[in-house]
Amino acid sequence: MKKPLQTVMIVDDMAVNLSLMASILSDYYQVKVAKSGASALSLITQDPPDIILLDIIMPDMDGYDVCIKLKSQLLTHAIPIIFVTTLNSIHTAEYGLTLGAVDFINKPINPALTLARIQTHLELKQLKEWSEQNQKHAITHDNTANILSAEELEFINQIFFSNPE
Amino acid sequence: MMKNSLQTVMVVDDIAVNLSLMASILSDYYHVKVAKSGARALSLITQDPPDIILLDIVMPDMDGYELCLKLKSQPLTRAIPIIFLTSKNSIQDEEHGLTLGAVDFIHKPISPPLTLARIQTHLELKRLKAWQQKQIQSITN
Repeated sequence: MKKPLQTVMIVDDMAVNLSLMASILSDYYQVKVAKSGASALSLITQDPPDIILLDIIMPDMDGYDVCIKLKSQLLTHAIPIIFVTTLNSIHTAEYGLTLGAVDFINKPINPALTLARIQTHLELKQLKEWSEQNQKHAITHDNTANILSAEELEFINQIFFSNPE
Repeated sequence: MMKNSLQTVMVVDDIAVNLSLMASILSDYYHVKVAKSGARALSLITQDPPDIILLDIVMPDMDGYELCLKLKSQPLTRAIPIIFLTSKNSIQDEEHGLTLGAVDFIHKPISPPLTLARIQTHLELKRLKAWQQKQIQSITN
């Protein structure tokens, strides 16, 4: 199932990890990569991807910092972030979730489970957007109904004021 | 997280202490049902399908894989998301579980927030899929 329109951004300071992840994902998604937190922030802000796989331990700006920055910007705060980590610790996972990440993938990664988690969160994101659009449409429709009744009211008022008696 | 008393989580594990632990984590947010064996789970799930199932893999008699296969072969229970619970960190086990139709894995010792996050993700996905289906049906009818 090829979804060329969906973009996955992989952020990792190790080239070999980027290559491995890209080779797993490129059959299903458009893959973008960044080798540092700063580069990731710049690329993501320029052209927001559909989902981000974010390594935690990176020099200069670590994954937590990147996550905090992305979650604080209106343009990027709704992009699902999955942390990718060798830190197999409950505290790491729990801290990441408090920062707004949606899930964790442990290294060494399992390609099938990685694809399943990405698909889950992309599908959830699409359905949320679809649901929001439908609700907006429903509200617009209600407003149309309100406008019509306001016009009707004005019509009634006109009749009333044109007939002083 | 908002309490939704209408959503039911079925936890299947042959170890009582694991059931108690999971029930204590989930009971603030969900209606929790438990089963100590695959056969018991199959009977309870078929009688009254839960919204999601947390399923231990290693159990005597009927293991988690076998139960998953049975649930995925019945129209009544096919669409219920199944998350496997495992103490093994094996890529082969995870791949096998996914091919049987499970949606995810949770490794023991479990992290309560991560467990809650994964359950919430799959319940929300299920709810939105059902809602979308309903919307499409209402348009096409």
